[in-house]
Amino acid sequence: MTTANAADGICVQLLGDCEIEIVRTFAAPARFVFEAMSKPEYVRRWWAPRSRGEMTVCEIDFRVGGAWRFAMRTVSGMEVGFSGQYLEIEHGRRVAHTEIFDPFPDVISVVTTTLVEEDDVTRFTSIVRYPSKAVRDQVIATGMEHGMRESHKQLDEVVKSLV
Amino acid sequence: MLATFTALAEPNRLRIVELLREGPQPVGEIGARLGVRQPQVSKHLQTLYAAGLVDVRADAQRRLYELAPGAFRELDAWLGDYRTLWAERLRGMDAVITELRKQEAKEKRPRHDHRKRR
Repeated sequence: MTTANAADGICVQLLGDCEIEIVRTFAAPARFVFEAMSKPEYVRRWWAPRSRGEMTVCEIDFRVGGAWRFAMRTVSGMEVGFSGQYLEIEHGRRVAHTEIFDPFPDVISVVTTTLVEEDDVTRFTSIVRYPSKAVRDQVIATGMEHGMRESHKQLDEVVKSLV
Repeated sequence: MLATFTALAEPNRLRIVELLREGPQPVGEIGARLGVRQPQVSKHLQTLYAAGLVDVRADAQRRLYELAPGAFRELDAWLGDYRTLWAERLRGMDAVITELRKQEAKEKRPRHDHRKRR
């Protein structure tokens, strides 16, 4: 299933059973996009959108094997934290890292972000691979503003039928 | 919304929903296609009906079950909200990138001012 919107230019898609893909283009060369996504002073300015809360922790040890940790306090006062380790870094082009959501320390997902630059425009593609379909679907639900966190399964076939 | 997820979390109920994507079906047909006994199918259909996922209508002697559009629109909104989060983040990244570009342009510009002041 794809949801795209001309106004915000982002495309979010479920890939297979366990992945979510986010695609967006930036009107800038890749080195700027890479900088904005890998340096803490810049990540602090976009990771927690103002409408959702405030970023409270932003630690990045940007090297293969290095750790990262992001946390925010949501507008409803909840602390939400994520952490992981860098698996691959290809400067200006590609980053892969693990990601763990604090309440579920055993659930490890892998996020691979690639940047492709052409004529000063950069296509940003981030694929998050979750260990199971149930986890992926739950993550989407927790992305909701209303803090839905009930577990549920096997929805993408259903969602696909709507498009 | 929670009712929707709970209803779909049961594998046989999800299979029923998937089967109904082909079109309206009577209970007997659903049971036969899925290899599930009819009383079980009826129970699942009741749950799906209570969650607003299926509707039922009479067709001559039979009762036909079909997907109800309302609950599925909610599911669509569900993925949409995740998208909104990322749209907001990436818009924030846009602002950072614009600033980084300006900074770089500024650094590259030769500094005439100092010489002129002398």
